[in-house]
Amino acid sequence: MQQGYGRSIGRRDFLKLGLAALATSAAACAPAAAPAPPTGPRVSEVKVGSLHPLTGTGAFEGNLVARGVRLRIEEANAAGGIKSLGGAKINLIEADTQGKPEVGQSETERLIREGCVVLMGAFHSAVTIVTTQVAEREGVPFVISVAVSDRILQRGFKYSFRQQPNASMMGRLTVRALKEVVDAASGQYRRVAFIHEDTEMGQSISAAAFSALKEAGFEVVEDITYNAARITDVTPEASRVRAANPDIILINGYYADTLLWVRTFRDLRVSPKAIVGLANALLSNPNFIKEEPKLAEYMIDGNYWWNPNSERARRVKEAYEKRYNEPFTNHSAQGYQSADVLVDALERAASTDRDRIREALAKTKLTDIIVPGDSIEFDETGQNKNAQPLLLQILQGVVTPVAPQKYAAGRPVFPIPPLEERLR
Amino acid sequence: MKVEVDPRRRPTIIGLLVILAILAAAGPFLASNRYAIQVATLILLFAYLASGWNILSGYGGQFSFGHAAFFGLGAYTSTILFVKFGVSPWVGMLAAGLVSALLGLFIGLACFRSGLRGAYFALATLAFAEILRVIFVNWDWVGRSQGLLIQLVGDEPLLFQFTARLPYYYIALALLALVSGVALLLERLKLGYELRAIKSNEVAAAVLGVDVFRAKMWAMGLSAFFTGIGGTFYAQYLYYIEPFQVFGVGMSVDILLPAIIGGAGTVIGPIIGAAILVLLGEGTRTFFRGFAGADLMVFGVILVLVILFMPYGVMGLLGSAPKAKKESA
Amino acid sequence: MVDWQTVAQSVAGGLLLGGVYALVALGLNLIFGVMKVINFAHGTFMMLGMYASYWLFTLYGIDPYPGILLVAPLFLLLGVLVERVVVSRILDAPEHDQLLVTLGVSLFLQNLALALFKADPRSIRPLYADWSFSVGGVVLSAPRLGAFLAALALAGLFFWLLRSTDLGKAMRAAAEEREGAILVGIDVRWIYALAFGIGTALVAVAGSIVLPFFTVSPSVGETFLLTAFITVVLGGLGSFPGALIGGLLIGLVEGLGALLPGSLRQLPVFILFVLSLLVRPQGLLGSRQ
Repeated sequence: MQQGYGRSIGRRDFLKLGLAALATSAAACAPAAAPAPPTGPRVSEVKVGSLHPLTGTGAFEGNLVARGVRLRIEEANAAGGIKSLGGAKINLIEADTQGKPEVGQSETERLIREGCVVLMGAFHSAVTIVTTQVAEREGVPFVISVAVSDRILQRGFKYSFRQQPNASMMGRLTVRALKEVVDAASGQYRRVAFIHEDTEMGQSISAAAFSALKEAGFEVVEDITYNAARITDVTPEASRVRAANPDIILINGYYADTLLWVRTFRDLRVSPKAIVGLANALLSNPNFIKEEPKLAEYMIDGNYWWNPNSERARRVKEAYEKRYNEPFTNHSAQGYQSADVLVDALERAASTDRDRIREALAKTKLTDIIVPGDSIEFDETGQNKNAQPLLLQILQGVVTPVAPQKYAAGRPVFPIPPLEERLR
Repeated sequence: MKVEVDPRRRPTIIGLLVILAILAAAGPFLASNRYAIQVATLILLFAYLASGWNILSGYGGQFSFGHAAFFGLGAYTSTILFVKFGVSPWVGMLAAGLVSALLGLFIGLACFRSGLRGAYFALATLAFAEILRVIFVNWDWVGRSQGLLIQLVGDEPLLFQFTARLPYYYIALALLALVSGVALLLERLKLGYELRAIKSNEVAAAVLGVDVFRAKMWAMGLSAFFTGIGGTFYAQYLYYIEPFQVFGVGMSVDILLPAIIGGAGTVIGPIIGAAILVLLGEGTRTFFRGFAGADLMVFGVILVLVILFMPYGVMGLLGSAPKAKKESA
Repeated sequence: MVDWQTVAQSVAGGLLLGGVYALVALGLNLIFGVMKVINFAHGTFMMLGMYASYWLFTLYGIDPYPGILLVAPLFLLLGVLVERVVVSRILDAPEHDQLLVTLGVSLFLQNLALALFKADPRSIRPLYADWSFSVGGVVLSAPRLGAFLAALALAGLFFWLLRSTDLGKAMRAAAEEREGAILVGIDVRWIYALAFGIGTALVAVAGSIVLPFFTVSPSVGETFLLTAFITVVLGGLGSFPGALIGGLLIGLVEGLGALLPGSLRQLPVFILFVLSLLVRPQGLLGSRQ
């Protein structure tokens, strides 16, 4: 992994030298920004802020993302820091948003005050909306590590960037991948029961999925909203689903509540052709496999993930598991990739000036990435246009990407075996 | 209605004026530090909210655990008026106060007529806030759980938007001065005495001829009014509101804690309480960075210690808080 | 789609869980009835009880049900400790102070759990996790049925304790007439400590029996706490049969509420709560104060 990074630095250095040679004889340059010099001032450190819910709701995933970020930054420092700044070390300052917007706001102000020239975060869409606002006002680039709501980048902001797929992409592309899998099977499977939780996350993703489902020719036979935090028993809702007799059950939710759903479906002997998650925190989680191996098998989830066919992703996974002694998850992958975008931008910016960093971010064209997509490139709103969720299925106790074809590491099983068979 | 200034009360007026003057003067200095002015503005906001809560629960003794209902309703009122009808948030702020007051009167009517007191009343207010939360989460027109985003229009004072942070600071300060003034006035008016009598011993107050219901309704209406206005400020400060945040139990607790810590039933108590709590929150979060949960553990311990050893808050320590008669078991 | 089977299933599910709510409410009620203290930390103790059962199962393979024999005494002690150290000092304080102190205790314990166990949601898979019984088309899962029966059994045990033992009588005496109880020579301080201890043990055990079908994380107590408060007030503060009936009623209303669109499911319980407060503040079986 260290080796891999060293290799890509080598490539970049070569490119820079070549560019420097050309620049001396080049005529035109980008008007707004002065052409970035091959090396910048020599500074001792660059301060970078990481804002995530380390306590409170979302603490579980928040910590995973934060650790992914930390891993990448540590790697960068171990590999000699930011070369274009004379080997400057990245000083990562972590903050806890507690899942509250005004805390996120305060922490953002504090990090900026402490000298952070670029920020990352914040997991909760509601918190991210507010933190990116602060960053925009202060002119500090903000690289979104995880936050799905479309609205975050619909405000005409110039300083916010997001590498992961947004809610529309999650909804639309998951349904598209699902349709691929369904169509490949023999038989007509059109009936979908759609279950989603009622916070920002659930609402934004399900809205996109809804229209995608209709377009793809699925029939939504039951539509259930629920409150993840307060739910103690889903038996009534589950029996409604049972009565609707769907082919596919689509669930968008968090860990504990989805587990409640899956177990209740088992209790009520509900046996659909597939249970599919939509950015679901349970159905692609290794802990789920440990806790309920029989129930977990064949579960499908459409979620952000790392590219299984990427050598670098494999190395990062190993490094993460070694460093933190816990399974590498898709949340950590997003944290890692976002930090990677940041490190790359810092190198290209060769400056601690926030506007230079912002420009470097805007011009990102990263191909050595661990997530799906040909490259990471941001559109004018700051959204990575190549972001792509994957369809994952738990096969033989391993979360395996199965669609789209290009990023598959295994063949999907659809329809899945009936419940009785699975529990044997 | 002759308002006499009781010599014993003069220190409070002077104390308040001094505090407000210092805060006003400090503005420009704080403004040079983005983080400092953010923290200071939050202190002012929560001091204001706690003071509003204080009118009903501190002075009146009717402990509300659901003031988020008024806060959230106020925030939504002004935001809906602005986002959907283009009404300036300044006007919306007034509307917010009135709508929240109406809600307060409704809740008061329901609860006080039934003679709900103490824990029952506290839980009832909590339930009302939760009801509102559930309704708003499921209501399409107000954006459901996605809430409402306020479009950033840059520097538009008439639309309650500023690019600088300092104007928000002064607005919050003005609001605090307003509600503190109302509290001071309340202490002198008949209503204030009635509330104190009710807080002390409701039955005795009724026997003495106090129209308990009327007094409580006044307190509720005023308290709800100011809290609703606070909601508007919050909305215009964060440019984004959603039901879990503005109607949540956490917000209700955040509103009442400064009054308790600083001294319920006093004018200056909520201000001191807000300063302590916000600074403590920032401090513990910074100090315990990386150690998840440690700051809240400390917070919990402090809360317990304060109630155990300083039940009348800081003002109680200073000997200025009205001591409530203890309820016998 | 709502057919009779769905309704029947909702009713059954609601009642089963209602038994657990009743058990939680009993503990809360005991503490309030005897000591007039509103225990905001009640839900947190349930969470800790769940963790205790979780670790007993994961580390030593002890199933939550036999584990009750270990969990109950442990939390009895813990409750007594908390009462002696903290709660005893606020017995005469205004109700809101009691709420705040117990809130502080709750904050402390919840974040202690967060620091020790992290935020990861955890669950167990006991032997009987998959078993279920079909009764007239309605499916009853073994863990939930077990929890319901255990809750009823414990409630029964608790009532027996109150009626027939000296301790129970002393607690009732202290609840009804504190001064009188002291005069008769009852050491109310220890009665209070034991009441708090037993109440805590009850809710911790409720956590144990819920663990087979529920996921534990530091914040899980909040979910049950609000429902417990509503149950206690609905049933009547101080009335134990009231807490039992209240719990079942709340479970039922919650279950049926799921037939509403959206996540409005939570609404009927709150509305019922407010209505009952307005119409009959002393609760179903409580006596007018």
